[in-house]
Amino acid sequence: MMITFGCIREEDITLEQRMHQLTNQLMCPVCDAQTIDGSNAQISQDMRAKVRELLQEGKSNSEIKDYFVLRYGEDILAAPKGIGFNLLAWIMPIFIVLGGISIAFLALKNMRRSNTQATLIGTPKQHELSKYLKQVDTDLGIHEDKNSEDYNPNNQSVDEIKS
Amino acid sequence: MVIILEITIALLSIAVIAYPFLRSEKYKSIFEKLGTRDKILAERLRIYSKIHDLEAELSSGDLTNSEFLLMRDELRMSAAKLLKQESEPPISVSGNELEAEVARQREQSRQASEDRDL
Amino acid sequence: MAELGTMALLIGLGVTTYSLLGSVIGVKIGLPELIVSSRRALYMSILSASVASTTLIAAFVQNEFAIKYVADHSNTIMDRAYVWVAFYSGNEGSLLYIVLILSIISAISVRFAPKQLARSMPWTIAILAGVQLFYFFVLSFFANPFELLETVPAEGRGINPLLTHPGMFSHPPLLMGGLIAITIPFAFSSGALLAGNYGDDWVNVARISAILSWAVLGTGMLLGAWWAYTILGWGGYWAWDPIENVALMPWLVMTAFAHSIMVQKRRGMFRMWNVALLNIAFVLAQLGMFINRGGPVVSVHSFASSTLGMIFLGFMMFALIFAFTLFLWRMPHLKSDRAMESFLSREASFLVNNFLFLAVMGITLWGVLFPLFSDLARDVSVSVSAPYFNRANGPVLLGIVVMMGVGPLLPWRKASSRSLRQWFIWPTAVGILTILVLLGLGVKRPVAIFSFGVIAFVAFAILEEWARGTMARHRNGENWAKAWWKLVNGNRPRHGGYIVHISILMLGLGIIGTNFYQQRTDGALEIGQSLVLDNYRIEYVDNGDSSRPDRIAKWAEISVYNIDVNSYATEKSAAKAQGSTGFTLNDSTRRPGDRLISQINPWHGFYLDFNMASVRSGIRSTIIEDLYVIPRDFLPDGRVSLAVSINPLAWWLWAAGPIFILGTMVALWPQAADRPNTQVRRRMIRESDI
Repeated sequence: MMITFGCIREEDITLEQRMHQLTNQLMCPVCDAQTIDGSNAQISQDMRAKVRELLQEGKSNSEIKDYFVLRYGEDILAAPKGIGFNLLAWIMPIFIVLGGISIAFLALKNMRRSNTQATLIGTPKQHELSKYLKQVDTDLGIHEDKNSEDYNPNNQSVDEIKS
Repeated sequence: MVIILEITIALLSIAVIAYPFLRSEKYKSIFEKLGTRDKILAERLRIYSKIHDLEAELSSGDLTNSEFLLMRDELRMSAAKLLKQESEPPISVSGNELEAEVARQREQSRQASEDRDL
Repeated sequence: MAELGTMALLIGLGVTTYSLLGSVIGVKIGLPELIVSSRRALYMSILSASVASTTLIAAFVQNEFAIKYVADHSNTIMDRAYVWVAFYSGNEGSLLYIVLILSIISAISVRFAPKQLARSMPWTIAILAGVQLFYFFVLSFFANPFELLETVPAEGRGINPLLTHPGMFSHPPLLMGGLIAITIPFAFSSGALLAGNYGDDWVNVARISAILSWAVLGTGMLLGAWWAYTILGWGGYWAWDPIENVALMPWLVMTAFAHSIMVQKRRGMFRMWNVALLNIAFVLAQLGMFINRGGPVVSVHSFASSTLGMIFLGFMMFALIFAFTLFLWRMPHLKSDRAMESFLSREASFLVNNFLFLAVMGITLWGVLFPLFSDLARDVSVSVSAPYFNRANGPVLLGIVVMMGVGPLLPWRKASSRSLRQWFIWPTAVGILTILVLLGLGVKRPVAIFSFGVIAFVAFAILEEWARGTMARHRNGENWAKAWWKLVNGNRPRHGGYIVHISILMLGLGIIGTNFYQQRTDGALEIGQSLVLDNYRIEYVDNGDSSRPDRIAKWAEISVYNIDVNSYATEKSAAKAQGSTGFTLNDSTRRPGDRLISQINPWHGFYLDFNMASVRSGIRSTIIEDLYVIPRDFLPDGRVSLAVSINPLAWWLWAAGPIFILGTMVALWPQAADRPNTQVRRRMIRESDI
């Protein structure tokens, strides 16, 4: 739906606007990677004049493009038409996006599953540590108070271990 | 003139590169100092500094008391584990395992500190 | 002179070879002296590269046309300031520039790398030396800038006229520097893997160097766009030219990396992914070098056809195989510390944003390579240019902008539905409101309106977060400015990121404005005639000649008037009936409502030796829209042929640049919390003495 909205219908705009649309879709045959709209080469100027002439004759955009394809070959179009082999150019991006998104979601799912195990493994043997914990507290000058029981989720309060 | 310049550059390069071989002892000692024990010590001190940061945040009111205690205790546990390793004889642990252990400890201490970002 | 340069290159080749081999052998046989000596050899490559560069620049200054490169890229009438540009304006010089930059940033990053990385440093050094070795090798044997001519010409060919613009002092060097700087984070991550150092020690240094290269590359691209807009004279700023694309692709991957590395830093996840991203970015940078130098794809930027293509292709393939073999070998050690807790979390949103960035990269790569496939598969050449990329990438880019709003609103780990409601309700409302207001104002183009809505959503999401944080601090008695600054300071990576996001939104405004709402007309004017487009009238007042021996150049003096459209209603409807957007007036007398707003002097030059035209457009810029005048040609009958356009919101494109740089600087500024506080540092010193 959005794509049809995005395109302007040919009859809604002036011939000049259509001309600029077209000149942006045709490559300059003698320049490197420039459209005839941007190029000042003689052939681009002639092609621009031809586009204008064809528009005034009442040709449609696709008729004009075909006219140039017939004379200069397919590479005169700045973007390949979505037919035949060139359809591949247009379909691939869709695959890339869909593929990317699905890989992302698979990865997310995968990462969630491994979660449960990861949390179980990491738990340390805390009773062995009490001696060192005291040393840490002396290093830091911490004098333990009893508030800590209120919040400790695992009930494996450090204070219990210490005592 | 150009020849002299060229020779100077070449000689200078060789001199700078060869220098370490003339001062072997110094570099040997530096490399030995980069032992694993120092690594653990540095890591433990880093955890200490994180705990001090937490204390500062508690006093500035960025953390509630319970949040502070929860995070600090995680860090304390990590520090205690490192301390335990420091007091153990170093032969028992191979280099790679130590790396892994240090990384794990660091991870745990980070877990505690990251909550500040929420 | 030339001999000195060649010699310096050979010495560079020697020291980097030594550095590469010495590091590897030193680690393998455990010889610390050799390792230290190899590191010093890496430092010494700066000497070689800078002697060679100085020699080349001196040759330019002294007009030594005996050196082929100098004769090809400068002449005696060239403004001396452009010696710096001439230095890298050709294939050989630009390679020399690249190796100069690489040698300097390699040394800096090795010198200031954190001490924890000691174990992987020799490997990092080996990689850095290896890349430098490749460039010194190419410079010494295949693209020597000091090659001599048999007969010394009296005058050089001169610098490419397209490059004589102040923008050229910074655009190419930043672009090349940014591309090659990707080597640094890659060397740190791969060095750590080679050494079997699987911890996160390399993360900080890789993040900083990656963001620096990313910022330099981004600034370079933006300057290139600005240069194209003001000088190339095709009225655009981004052409999806292959060379632009090969700079954009690694930039996109590095953008993804800048996000996902934070997940590793904070949560110990995405380890594999981050390494893979750096690998991809590095290989893409090499692809850029390849396509730039004799690659198979045509481009306005490419250096004159060179035989270097195969060598660079070979190096790119080698980089690809090396990086990913290493990655696959070490992959089992790169497990995440913990798992994703929820789809609605910041880490999940970063993953999605990463894939969107990679999708844009993939589509762009596909577009760049498709002409080759077409050639190979059915022997028909096709062009893939701007219309393709705009349509194929546009929706994905919009998706990235949406994620830019969503991601920061989600907390780490897991979002509760309450916090979702709390954070999303206002930005979404503002976004929808924007769309409704634009529709109410009768603005056309639904896609553009939707995009404006998205931009408003993202902007408000950032503002909301700043507002809440600032208000919370303000309540504690700090004044507003101080409270905001403290908020930003509290977490610089995050808030610097938001500032960058704002600059991206500004870019978005400019891109949408110029792509969807541009108005254009062409016309040829005699002196005294005017051209009217929308509510502007431009009058061709006079012209002047500024030819020099190497060019025929003219400038036009043009007055820009703001007009009351009603005064020109008759002509306008006549023009519309003929199908044109603008119209020409023979009589330039002022009508009611005309107001002179600007004088512009667009310029057009034709360079005889290069058979090439160069123009400087006349621009009258406001934050709403630019009036943009390109002198296409001064015709023999005395008229000037003009292409005139109104480019809405173009100003925002260039205003985004400084904001982008500011945001990067904030994000990279060392965080106070990273440094241990003094008390502990004192203790550290005490304990390490024991």
